[in-house]
Formats: sequence, structure tokens, C-alpha cells
Amino acid sequence: MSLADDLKPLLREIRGIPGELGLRQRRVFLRNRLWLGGGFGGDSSVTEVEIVEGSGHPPKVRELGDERLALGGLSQGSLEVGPITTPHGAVGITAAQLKGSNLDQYDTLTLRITDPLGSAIYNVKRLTMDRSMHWKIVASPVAEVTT
Amino acid sequence: MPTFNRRVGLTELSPTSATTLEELDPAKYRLRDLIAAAINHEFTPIWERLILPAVGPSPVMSKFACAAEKELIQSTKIEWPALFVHRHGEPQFSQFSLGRRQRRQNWNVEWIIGPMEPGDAASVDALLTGVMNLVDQVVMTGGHPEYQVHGTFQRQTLFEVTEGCGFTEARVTNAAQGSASFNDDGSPPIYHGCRITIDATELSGPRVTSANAYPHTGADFRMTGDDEGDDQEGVEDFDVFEPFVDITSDF
Repeated sequence: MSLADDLKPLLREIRGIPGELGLRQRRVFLRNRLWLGGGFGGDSSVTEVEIVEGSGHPPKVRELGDERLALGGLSQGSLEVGPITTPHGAVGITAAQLKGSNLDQYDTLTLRITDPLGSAIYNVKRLTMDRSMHWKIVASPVAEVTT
Repeated sequence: MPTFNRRVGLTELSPTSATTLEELDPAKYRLRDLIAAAINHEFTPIWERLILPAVGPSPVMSKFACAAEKELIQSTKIEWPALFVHRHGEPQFSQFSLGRRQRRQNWNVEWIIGPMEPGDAASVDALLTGVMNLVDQVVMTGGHPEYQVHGTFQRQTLFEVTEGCGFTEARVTNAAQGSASFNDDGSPPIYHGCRITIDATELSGPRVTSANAYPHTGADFRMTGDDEGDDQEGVEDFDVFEPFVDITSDF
């Protein structure tokens, strides 16, 4: 066990405190749509895994400012999710899940982010995974959904 | 069952019985499968010699009946190279014959090899040219031996109405090759590929669903129905057809 491994559970709990206080209005789900017929247009199923920090509370979600939107060529409404505590043991979302490397051909990976006003699908635009203790996701809105 | 009234009486709108996307637009899926089969057959030998570690073992690993949109590429697990076949631009509708309309439409065929190592990218330039030439030949001849229907070679897939694309005319009008990024800021990875544009005309509009109910399609009208051709078979059948009879009620 390294120092980083010892710190991750502590960091996860600290990052859950704002949610504990009711300050995290948005919830983030990693959404996989699996096409059963071997391509688009047929039957599909959706599986979702919620990205959570300590005590099951959501991670930080912030709207990007105009400068970052312009520099990144991102659309209005783009969000940054994180820091997301990197996994330790069986706890936390894995790099394979975030990158979709566990998916089959034609399956899609998006985020579904909910807030008190509704629920929307976001495309993952950028993954920042160069830190050992946390990752970040930049995502842009695609469509509103009912579930 | 929804019906609507046209000059030849009540005919069933063909899409009403469709239960799959392929039934709604069969030409798109058949054109995609035809070109995928042709590329895989013709280019597998050279593909095996090229050895491109960053992409799959066949020239077409994935095939799509839609455009290579940025949002799609960013969110979908795709094995490269991928083939995208889709209608492009605004169709032009016009009268083809009595009771039949025709639709002239551009199609885009996009074959994208995928991100590659720098040396590999330089070596596939000739391959892209070869694929463009192949698609041109397939469109010119109307089919490819590797694309078979019910286990037999369909010589004129593009022009066959029942199990083909149903085109009356098709030709390659434009082709281009190059590289593209599907990231919002144009950053790598860079994808190499080519795009071929096909100008095709197909019959559209209502199609009688049973040969017993009304045996002639619009193509038959054009072949047999001239101004003085009352003694010809097609026109006789047309004359005896009872207008405003709901032919769909027999099924």
C-alpha cells in the first residue's frame, strides 16, 4: 500500500462533504447504450453507473466559463465533472469505464446529468487522467431526456 | 390501415407496414452492404500486407447507415476502418410516370481508416485512391459478386427494385481524400479517409404491395403505356382498374 492508496479513501470522504451539506444539485451517471442487433436502429438497452464520492454523494460539477468554452471549441452548457477520486480497491469508477474500453462495437458511452430541472445526455469531450488522486471530465450537452 | 387517394385509386403507403429501419429505406442499407462487401473483398489482400497495427484486420470493420458525425465518433465504440453511407443534401422530387414519383438524391460514401501511426498514414494514400476507383466501378456496373442475395450473385444490386436499391440511374460525381479530426478544437487523433459522392435517382411514393391487386409498377407504365397503346397489356390493366376501391382490404 502506497501513501496515495492510503489517502484516496480520505479524499473520497472529503469530496463527499459538500453533498452531505446539500450543496451538490447535480448527479452524474455514466451511461452505456448497448445495441443488441449489432448496430444502430434495433433494440438497445441502457445501463447506468452513478459517479459518486464519499457516502454516495455526487462529485463537483461546474459550468465552464466563456474563455474555456472558446479555447476548447466547446458548446454553451459544457460542464466539468470532478475532481473524481481515482479508484481504490473495488471502490470508484475505473479508467476502463470512463474510456468505454469495456464496451462492444457500436455501443455508446455518454453521461447523463440530472439537476432539479431535468435530465440531459452529455458527450464526453475530454478526460483529464494525468493525476494519480483525481480525474476530471469535460462534457457537452447533446439532448434532454426524460429518464 | 392508413391509405390515401391518388390518381390510380387507393393504394397503400408503403412505409406503413414497416417494422424495421431497413424496410423504411432499404436502398441505404443495401448500398452500404454492397460497398462494404466490395471493399472487403477487393482490398483484403493488400490490407493484410500493409499491416496497420492501429486499425482492424479488415478494410471495413464497422459499417454505418449514417454520416460520420463528430458526436457519433466521440461517443461510440467503433472498430476502424469504418464505412459510412448516407443520403446527403436536399432531394429533388419529380414525376416519373403515371402514379409514380422519382427522387434524385446525392449520397455520400465515407470510408475512414482511422487514426494511424505517421508512417502508416503516408502509405495508405494509394489505398484511398483505389477505394474511390472501386466505388466508381461498383456504381457503374451496378453490383459486385461478393454482395449476394439469398446466396446468389445479384448482378444489378443498385438497379434491382425488389431486393436491391431500386435506382433508375446512379453515377459517381465527386470524390475526395484527406484527413480530419473529430475533436471540437481540431486536435488529434487525425483520421484518414475518403468521401465519394453518388448522384442517384430512385422511384419514390406509393407502391402497391400485392401483384394480384395491381400488377404493374410505375416502371411498367413507362414501358407499355404510350398515348395510343390501349391494346397493350399494361394500359388494359390500368383501364379496368376500379378507382377508389380500397385494395388493401383484401389482405
